[in-house]
Amino acid sequence: MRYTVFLFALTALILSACEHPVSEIQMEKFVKLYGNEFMDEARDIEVLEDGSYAICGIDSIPGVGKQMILVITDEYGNMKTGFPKYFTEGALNSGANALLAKRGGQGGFLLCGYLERPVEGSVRTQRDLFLVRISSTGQELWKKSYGSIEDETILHVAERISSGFMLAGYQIRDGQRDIMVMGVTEEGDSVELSFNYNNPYADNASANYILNTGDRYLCLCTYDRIAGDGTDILILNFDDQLSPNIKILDGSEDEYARAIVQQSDESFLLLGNRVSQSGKEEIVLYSVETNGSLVTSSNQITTLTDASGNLHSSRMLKMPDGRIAIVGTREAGGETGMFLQFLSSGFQEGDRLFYNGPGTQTGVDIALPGDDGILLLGTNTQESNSMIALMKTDEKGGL
Amino acid sequence: MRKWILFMTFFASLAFSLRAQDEVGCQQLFEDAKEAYNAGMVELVPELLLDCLGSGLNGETKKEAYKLVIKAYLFDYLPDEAGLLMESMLSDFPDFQPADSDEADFVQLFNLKKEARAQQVVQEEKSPEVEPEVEEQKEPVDPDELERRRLERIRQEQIRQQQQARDQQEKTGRKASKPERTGTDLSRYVGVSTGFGFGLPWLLEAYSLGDPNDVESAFGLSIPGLRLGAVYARPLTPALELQTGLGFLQSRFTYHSAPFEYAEYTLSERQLSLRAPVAVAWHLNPGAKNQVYVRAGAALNYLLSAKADGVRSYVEGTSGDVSLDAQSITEARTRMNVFAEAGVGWKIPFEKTLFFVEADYAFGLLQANNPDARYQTGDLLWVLYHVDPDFRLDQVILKAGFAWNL
Repeated sequence: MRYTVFLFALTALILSACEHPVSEIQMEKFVKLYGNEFMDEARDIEVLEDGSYAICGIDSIPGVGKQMILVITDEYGNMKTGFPKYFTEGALNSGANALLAKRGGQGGFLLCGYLERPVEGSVRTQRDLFLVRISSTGQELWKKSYGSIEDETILHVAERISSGFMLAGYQIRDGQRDIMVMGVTEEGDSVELSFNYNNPYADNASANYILNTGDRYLCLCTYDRIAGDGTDILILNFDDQLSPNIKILDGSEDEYARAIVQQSDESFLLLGNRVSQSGKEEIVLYSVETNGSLVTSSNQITTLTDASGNLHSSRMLKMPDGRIAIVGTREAGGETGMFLQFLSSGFQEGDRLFYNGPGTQTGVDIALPGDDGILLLGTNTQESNSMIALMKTDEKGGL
Repeated sequence: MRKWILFMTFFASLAFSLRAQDEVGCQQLFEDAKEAYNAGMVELVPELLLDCLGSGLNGETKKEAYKLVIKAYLFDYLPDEAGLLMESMLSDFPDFQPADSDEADFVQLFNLKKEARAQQVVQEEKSPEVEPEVEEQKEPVDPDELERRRLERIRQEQIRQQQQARDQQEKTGRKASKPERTGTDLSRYVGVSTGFGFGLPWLLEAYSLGDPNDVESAFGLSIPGLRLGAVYARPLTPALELQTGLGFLQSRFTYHSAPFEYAEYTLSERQLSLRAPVAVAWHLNPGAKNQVYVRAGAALNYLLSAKADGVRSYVEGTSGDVSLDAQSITEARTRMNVFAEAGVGWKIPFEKTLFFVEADYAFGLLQANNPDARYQTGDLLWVLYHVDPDFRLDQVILKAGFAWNL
């Protein structure tokens, strides 16, 4: 009797370990983690033409350093063979803040971020812009870095109207951070299309998001007010001839730029973060109208707050049904978690979903896959380990 | 003279040999009748022994033969025949007393006929003048002859009634359903049982925070869980029994996976369920005192609670293990499930109680996990890196119990 039970159990164990095919239902909703047992941070996600996903970020290994990480997955979120791939220059530290997929990935990728170079005669390092051009299969085509003795970092990238890439980021001079926008060619060479705001009151300024509307660029920036009295959201409206027109969204509270979504040819939604008079951090949404290179009007649509915590938005997008979805991070009660906020097509506040777990969950980016779901990109950190987290939810954000 | 003596001696020996053969045949018939009775072919018993009761059997054997035929009649629902034969036996063996092992209906019939005989004797004593007149009018008859005629009348009556019964069966075209007679009757009983069960999960589809196509995932056994319950059974036929009950069952099992190259984990789960099984048991040897049966049925299972804990380890030991305390995952499991059950059992009946042992295999028909809550397991997901696979849960249940006849 005893041996019969044992043999039966052994058979069961063997059968349970046999291969079991993955069904298509696993494509509809999933949670995936990428990285190693040290520190990996998510930064950007792109949905590729073939339905797969490309993710960039920063990989840190003690004793080795930081490097750019590129992950390409299938539509199930499972990493494709040969990935992740790591990019840096020599033994220098680097990080990827933005990812661009040309022609849905068929034309390869561009990783944008920073490269840290040691400062001669000092223990300090200095950051330069760092670009890595990658083929559709993940092979490095070229890498370029640009910089001065100042620190420069790319935060976002868009394709140029003609050809090449438009980079948005910041430059730190004398300890003060200011807006920086520049263009490069397809081969990564700089073009005479750069913009440094040179605000004498710049302190925390940056170009956070750049959008190619087809015939011009809208760049959303964080801008330090004159006399150093806090920050506002600034819109740069320019074309390949540069000559930007500037619109500052004045406010009494400190605001920080996050993202832009195009509603129509001349209508845009702007996402930002605000620190209220009481010190509470909240989300602010603006709509702006343009007429060519002019910003003709701007309106604050809504503010989103949390009763018991602070909200930091990261990115937003417009759903096929007209709803707006915003991803970010909520801090409340000592817990840090990712949130997904919906607004109706009329900008009425809708459901707010939280994705909490032990440690911290930060919301970084959001994208729409080919079906009705939503992709949420974030970083999951527990003690000394952090991983890139990708979640695919249903159209309501449910897992 | 000598020829006459030889002639007489020859016929005497012939008569003796015939008488001896007659006795030998009836002894064999008695043995055959006992076997037929034990095998449940009770209708053969009177046919085998009635003639021998008239002649061919003596002493204790004859007494046992009487008892066997009377019991066969009682089982065949022929009380009148049984009563007549009881009278005949009491006539042959007036000092007969039933044994402790004799069935209740036999004892009841004995008491009835014994009392009737006693009353008849009293009546005869009260009116003795009637009988002498009758006896004086009749021709004197040998008492042995009287007895043989009386038994012959009884036997003919019994044969006639059996023939009537067979004719009736042929007429209606129905085969009379007679419950098989067993050495030990099935009866209703209620009792308690205890035991243990092994949870046997079956992986239907693996999920993972990594790539499930590349991840090694498997369920494993754990220590058995306890089982405690109440049972109730009632006979449907002499060989079939309906069994039901209510009980608690613990199921335990483990799950191991390595979602990443550098990390693996083991999850230990335990479930507590309330089960209501219903089964039909078929007794393989209804004539035996210790009965073996096979059973088949279904059980409704309600999950009361499910908890899981686990340990995540780094493959190369780059960091220490991460332990997760027991978490409730009841909402991530299917609450109601149905099991198809099959098993074997062994029953030892006593006078008013019985002891039984069973081994069952329960096949879970529904998926054991709740897919809608797959990613709602909190720390199991984010600390242990565990994602519930789709799985079924079978169980091997071993139990022993004690019951009381109702």
